[in-house]
Amino acid sequence: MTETKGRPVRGLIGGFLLGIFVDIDLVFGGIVKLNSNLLTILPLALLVIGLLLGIWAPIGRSSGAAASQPAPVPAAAPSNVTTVPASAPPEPAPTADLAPPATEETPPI
Amino acid sequence: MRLIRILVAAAIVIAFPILSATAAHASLDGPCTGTGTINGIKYDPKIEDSITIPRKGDVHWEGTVTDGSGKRAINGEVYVELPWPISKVKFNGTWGKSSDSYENANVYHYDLPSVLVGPKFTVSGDHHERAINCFGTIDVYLKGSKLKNPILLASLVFTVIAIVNMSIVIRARKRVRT
Repeated sequence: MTETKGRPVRGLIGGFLLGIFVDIDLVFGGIVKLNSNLLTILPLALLVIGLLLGIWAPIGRSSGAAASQPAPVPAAAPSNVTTVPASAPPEPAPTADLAPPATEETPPI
Repeated sequence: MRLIRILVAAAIVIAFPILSATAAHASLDGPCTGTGTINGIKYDPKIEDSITIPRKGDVHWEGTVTDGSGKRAINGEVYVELPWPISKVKFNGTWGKSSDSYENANVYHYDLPSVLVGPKFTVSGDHHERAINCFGTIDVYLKGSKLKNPILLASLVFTVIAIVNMSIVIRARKRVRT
């Protein structure tokens, strides 16, 4: 049986680090000012988003759920039909006719 | 996937005003003047919003208070603004004594490392005395190519790695249970 699971810790840490690196990109690219509050908000916001995405893990979850379902059960046979097992246990073969019991005169091999 | 598209669209809608709200705006409020001259070019926050200056040089600064007379207690500082929780980094331009002077001028030598090429610094200054409060601010860039900044290049590489990591995070991992 297969079950799917997210990566919340990896998402949390990865989101925070992504926020830090995007901050550095924005600052050193001269896109936002050095005193912008966005630089404080972004790592914290991406930390939360990373955690939520890690818990949710939307991609691959549906196929995983299908794989975890049990195999379909065949329809039950009508009551007036006698079912015979496909692989019935073989009856024990009469061994008396095939090989005589060993006597004491039989030399040991 | 539709939800992801909605989230991305919402992020763009939210991020655009935040990024555009940080447009340059210099000012000098109160009965004061303050200017700096570097390599013969005069910079005035009442005229320019953002300036680009050499990475090292001498700034001939001068400041005046246009109102008041006599000796009085004064205080003020010059600093670079940073986001919370750091807030600000002060230069050595601080004053807090009594004075009977209403203007001052001097030369300040600076030499900044090349890794600071690219960021937009907000340099601010304030001056207080009796009923006078002056506050000035201007955005400052350092001359040079930001694409040669090793911090930016390294950060771009790590950003790509972090994005790849997030693409792994959004994928569910399968675990076989017996």
